[in-house]
Amino acid sequence: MSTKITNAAARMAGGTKTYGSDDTEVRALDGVDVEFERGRFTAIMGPSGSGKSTLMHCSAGLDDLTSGTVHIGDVELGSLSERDLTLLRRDRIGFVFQAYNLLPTLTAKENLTLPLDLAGTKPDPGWLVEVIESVGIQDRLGHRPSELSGGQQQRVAVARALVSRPEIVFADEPTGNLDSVTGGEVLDFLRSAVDDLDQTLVVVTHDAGAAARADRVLFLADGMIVDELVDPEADAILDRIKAIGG
Amino acid sequence: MFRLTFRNITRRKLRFALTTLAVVLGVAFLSTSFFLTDRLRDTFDELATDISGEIDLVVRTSIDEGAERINRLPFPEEVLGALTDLPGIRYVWPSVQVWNVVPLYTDGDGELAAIGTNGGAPQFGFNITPPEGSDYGDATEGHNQLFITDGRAPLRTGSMADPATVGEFALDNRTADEFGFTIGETYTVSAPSGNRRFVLVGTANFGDPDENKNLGANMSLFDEETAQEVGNKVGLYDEIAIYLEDDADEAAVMALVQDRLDQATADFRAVVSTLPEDQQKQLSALTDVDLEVVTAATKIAEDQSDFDQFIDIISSVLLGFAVISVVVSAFIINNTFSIVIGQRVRELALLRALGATGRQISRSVRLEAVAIGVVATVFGLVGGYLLSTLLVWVLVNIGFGELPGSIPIRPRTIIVASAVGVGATLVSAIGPSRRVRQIPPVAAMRDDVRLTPTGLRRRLQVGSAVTAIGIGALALGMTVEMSTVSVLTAVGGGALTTFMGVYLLSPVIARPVASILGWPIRRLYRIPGRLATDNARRSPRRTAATAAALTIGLALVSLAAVVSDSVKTTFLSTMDQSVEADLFVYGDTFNPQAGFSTELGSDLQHLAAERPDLVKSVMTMRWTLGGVKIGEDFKDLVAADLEILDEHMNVQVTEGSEFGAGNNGVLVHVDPAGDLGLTIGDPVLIDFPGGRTSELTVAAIFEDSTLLGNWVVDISVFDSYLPTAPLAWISVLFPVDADNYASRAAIEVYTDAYPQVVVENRSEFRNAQEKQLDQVLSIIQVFLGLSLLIAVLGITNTLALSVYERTRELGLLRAIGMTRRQLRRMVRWEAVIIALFGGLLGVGMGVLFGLAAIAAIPETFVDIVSIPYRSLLGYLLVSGLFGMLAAILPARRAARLNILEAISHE
Repeated sequence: MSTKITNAAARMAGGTKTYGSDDTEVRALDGVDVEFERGRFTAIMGPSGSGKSTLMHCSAGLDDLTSGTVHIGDVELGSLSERDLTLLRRDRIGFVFQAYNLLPTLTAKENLTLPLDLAGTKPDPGWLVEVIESVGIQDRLGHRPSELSGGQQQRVAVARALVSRPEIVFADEPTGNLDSVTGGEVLDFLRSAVDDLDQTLVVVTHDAGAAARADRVLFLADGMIVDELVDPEADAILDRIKAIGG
Repeated sequence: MFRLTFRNITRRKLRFALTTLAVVLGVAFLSTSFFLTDRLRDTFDELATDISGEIDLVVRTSIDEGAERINRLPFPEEVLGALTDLPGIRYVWPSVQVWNVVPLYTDGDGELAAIGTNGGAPQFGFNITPPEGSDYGDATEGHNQLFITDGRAPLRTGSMADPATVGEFALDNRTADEFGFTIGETYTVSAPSGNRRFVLVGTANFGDPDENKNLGANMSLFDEETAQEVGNKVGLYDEIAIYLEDDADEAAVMALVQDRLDQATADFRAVVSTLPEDQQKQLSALTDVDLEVVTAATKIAEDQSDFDQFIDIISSVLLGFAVISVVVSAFIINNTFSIVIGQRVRELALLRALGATGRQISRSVRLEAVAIGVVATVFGLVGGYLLSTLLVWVLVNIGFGELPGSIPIRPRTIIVASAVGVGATLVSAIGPSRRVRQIPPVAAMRDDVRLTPTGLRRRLQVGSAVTAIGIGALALGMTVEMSTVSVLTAVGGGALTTFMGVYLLSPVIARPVASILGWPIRRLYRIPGRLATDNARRSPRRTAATAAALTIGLALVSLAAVVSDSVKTTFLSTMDQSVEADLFVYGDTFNPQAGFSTELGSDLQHLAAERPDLVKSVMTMRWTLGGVKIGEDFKDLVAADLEILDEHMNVQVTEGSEFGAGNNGVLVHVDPAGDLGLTIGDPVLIDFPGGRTSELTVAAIFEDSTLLGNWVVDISVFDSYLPTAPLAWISVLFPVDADNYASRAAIEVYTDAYPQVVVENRSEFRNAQEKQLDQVLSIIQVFLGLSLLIAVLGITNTLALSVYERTRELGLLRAIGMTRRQLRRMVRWEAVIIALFGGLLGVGMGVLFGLAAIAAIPETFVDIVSIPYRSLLGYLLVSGLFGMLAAILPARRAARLNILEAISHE
């Protein structure tokens, strides 16, 4: 891939990540070059141990590469201090995890605005209203996570990822803990975030139905990108997965 | 099950270590109190043995059972003659023992200085050389257990009654070394008879020819006649030591000696009765006294029990603090077990699902407690031993001198430490170990199982009831008139009950209080502050239990502060009212026997007579502490010049008058007067040492016992019964129109020759007293503060467990952009909130208990309530600071969590 300044919200070049040493060495990522373009929904798929989570963690500044570079916008992560990296995550990256996304002691609204509060900045009221409306939980804002359903919790988590207008949102199996109906709702919401709110989204999943809503699907195996589909159909995705032995 | 327990311990080493450490400290303090007091007891038992050495029998005057033996009187030296030719006696050695013999030296600044008093250790004078031509012993024998090591024994050079005579003396080696005394030099020795010049001719060891075992006392040695002169004991001995022949029958010799003593006493009384009446009266102190002979074993036992009184005080103080520490650590263990079991519900449920019975699981928890107790006991004993070693080192270096021997390890120490260490841990774990039985096997499959102990509502009911009972008891003790014992029971029991009630209630109030405490933190630190507050509110039981350890310590510290501040205020305010004198002159030492020469008293009285323009009057005072028996008990008795007493001190006489009380009057404080039903004109029988009773009449009843205590007689009465007591106090009054500086300068011309005394005007005296009270308080506070140290461990432990429990949450926070600093801040302020919560409860209860205690303490000691707001606020701040301290490690641990691992933490 080229290293020219592109329209990429994030990109990785020559990304290699190894664990252990010498004979026990495991290559989780093996020279990955990838770009995540702005305003697009990218899904990452692959069998367990293929390195898809590592790809996400390294791209999002949660983990560092053994070699290679990662850029968020035009910032190279490798050169950042721990503190700067934290601030970058806070201000320019959104996260959605599989579960336990919310702090139990805070209300839905407080959870939602947490990144802004951590930064000590005021939310942009218009944007906040837009995000809240799109989540569809206006009437549950004062509730604590334990009073919300699993789907509601995940939607709050997605809204929180969006609230600081990040450069890019990473979601790690965001529907993994949900039933298919609820999961579908969350995916719809993710899709609309890209379409209506013009956000950039990277989702790690092994659900072909989820990946089918993406603009592009990357397939990983043994730490390398082995395939790619643009505007995928679910059937095509399943075929590819079978092909790479997922 | 045993293996499982073992695994649990080895897997969670840090948690195990922290929990154990709390018990370790408790056990360490406990064992220190045993180690140290055993050590001191051994040392002083040895000293008591050393004092008697090879002596077989001791002749002395008798004294009532229960009296302070220090008040024993001397007897005429003629008694010696009655013993010399008895069969079975190898030889006899008469001993003269003088208190307050203070050699003076010139210090580095060229000022005259008195040898230091080594924390109240006495300063003695002894005879070491027999008079020329005597037929008993010789100077090389080590008399009075003193052995000349350098130079020679002091000899008689002439009568010390003549101030021009330069005498000879020797010193114990430690004193000579410490203050740089050199053999051959001439020094002033300040003794009860006055200041005289002496050449230092030798130095000696006490107890052992090769080792000075005098434990910090300063010992000046003279020939017999000189010792008698410097001690105002001319013609008198304090004891006669008898050394028996090897084959002598001790009991037979004793009977013989007692016969001779009785005969000699009778002879002496017969001779005196032929004398004119005024001489008879003068000698009454000698004729009325009985003599006795006792075995050395009796004397050793007496000396040991005298020393034990002082060791017992140290022992009970240390033991008291140790008990507090153990209680505090019990709270911590209980809390830790509760938390840990909560965290292990799934694991324990899995065991249940696999077929373990509830009983087995419960046992494994108790087994873990026992393991902690055992390990803690071992380390606690080692720690206690090291701490005792340190304390002994401190004692040696503050002037006890060498303490020969080592710290004894008695089975009792190990047994009690083990019982308490293991027992306290086990008892603390019983509650949690019972609760695990309720865990259903199905919990293994579920995510949300919580152990639910008693509901908060029930807590609220029971806690309120218990608190109400406690406060009721406190109020009862404070308001209702009843006996002192009942008041103390009501107040003590009330305090304990209130504490338990508040402890039960504290989880209920933890939430709102944490919110209030967290308010400024939320304002200041926003999200980290907000989360800190939320976390502190999250499990109120945990917060309450963690804070309880701190509450105990702070309640005690605050209680002590309120009581002592009130006592101090009362004392100072009554002193302000009672002191009329312009100057006080008194011994600069903690030793209750301390005093100085009557010569200084008469010097100042002469000054008053010659320069009435400078000094209006000088009042000399003596006293005996526990030396006289009034009614059934031994009392302190103060002697002053009743004719001028009211000019110097206003003791608030309410009935009668001190004037004209003269030779047979006694002033009584209103409390004992009330207890004994005494009114003006009633007779009072005072038993002086030596079985002599004086019948006096109540001349006045007074209200202020701050300066003079409860019983006051005229100094002339006192002198006729206790002629050798040193002068303890001089009070000086200036004329109204005198120049105080000139008057003081005139006084100091005389007092400068006595560097062992202090001269203080009213405000200096007040400050000195205040400082002394403050010192006592700060020592108490330091000891109580040790329990706070354990409480800090408790907070650390809870936080560490909470951090572990919230790992996933912390990972999330870090992932979405909480900086490490914000995270540390969050943990730190949670700790501060918990600590402040404990601090608030503690200070609040401390003040309440303090007020109750003040009401319970007799008004003589405290009738002004003074609450030291600033100190109390300081304690709160300190508790907050302790919270921060406790948070350092857990906060760092939380900040260093690996984000990815944390997020996927189970």
